[in-house]
Amino acid sequence: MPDSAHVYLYGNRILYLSIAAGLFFLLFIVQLVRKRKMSERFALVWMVIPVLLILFSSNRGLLERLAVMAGIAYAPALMIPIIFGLFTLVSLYFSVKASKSEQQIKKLAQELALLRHAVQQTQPAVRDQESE
Amino acid sequence: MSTTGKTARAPRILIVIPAYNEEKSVVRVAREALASAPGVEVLVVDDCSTDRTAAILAGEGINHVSLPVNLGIGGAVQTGFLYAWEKGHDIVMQVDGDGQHPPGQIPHLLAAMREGGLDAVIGSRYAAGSQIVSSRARRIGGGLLGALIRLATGQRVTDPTSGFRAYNRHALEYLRHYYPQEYPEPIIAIDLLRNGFKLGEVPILMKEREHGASSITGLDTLLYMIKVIFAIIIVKIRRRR
Repeated sequence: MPDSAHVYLYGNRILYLSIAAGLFFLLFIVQLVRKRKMSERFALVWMVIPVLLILFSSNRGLLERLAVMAGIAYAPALMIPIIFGLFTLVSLYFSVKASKSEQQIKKLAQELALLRHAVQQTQPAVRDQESE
Repeated sequence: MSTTGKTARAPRILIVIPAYNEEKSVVRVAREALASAPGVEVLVVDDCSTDRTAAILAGEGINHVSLPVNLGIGGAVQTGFLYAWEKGHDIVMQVDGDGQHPPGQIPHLLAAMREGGLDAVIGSRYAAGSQIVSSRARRIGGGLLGALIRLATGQRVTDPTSGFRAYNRHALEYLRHYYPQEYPEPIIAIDLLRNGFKLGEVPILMKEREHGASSITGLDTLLYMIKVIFAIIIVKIRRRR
């Protein structure tokens, strides 16, 4: 095998692996949605990661241009900060969602407790009315 | 002589007692709270206890609500505030269900609120005239938080972690919307001051808890301090409501 072909093949190995990992991740998310273990809304957020991963991995020209802009000599190494950044953004998004859900659950629990109390207070009166 | 025909009515007071697994002390605390001042009402908020707290309260006929999930001290207390708001109470008090806050001292808080024209009153273990029954670590922690609050608001709060408190309806209107779920006491002190409420302290004597364990113990103390300090900084930099 010529040296240049060897370098190209092994230099691109991380990119092939990234495409494979992206596809696997994408299928895994689709499976979760299909089995109703994840809602479509959240699945779309998660899908951003494998889609961008596949996009950057399959377009070496784009990756190299970005690597030059970022001052990274070895273009595939750019995948590391890209993946890290994407996961960070998705984690932040879900933390915001979790905080909102926490507030909503708290409000629901409080409303339920107060309503149950109100019903228990009125039940004797209702029973008295019924017995008259 | 009044020309309006209206007569001044006594303020309606609700004492909120948050309780989580307090089956040994909550009934006595509730009864003492009821006897502490004429006309006061009591609401025990059972925070999804795993012991017989709810059953005992029901058996004793004590007014209580039971949360379907454990919300923590902040969520439980705020449930009481929502109840007080809906029922039209003028003053709401918080007294812990573990017997640490002597209900006999409730009138001191009410008098301080009335005489000082305050929106919120904290029963302080460390204010001048109080009798301290507390560990040194707890005092140091409280002192540090107090210093932070002073830095942020300019007002001295000697016992920001005390949960023995009274709020008027003006403060209640605010607290029914904004009340932190975890470690609410120091955060609420600074939040109220930053939003223009009048907050004061009254010296009281607190007892060691009779039953149950503190929610702030051992290594948790460090985590507690970090969380509260972070929350105080957030309250300080947040826009006023």
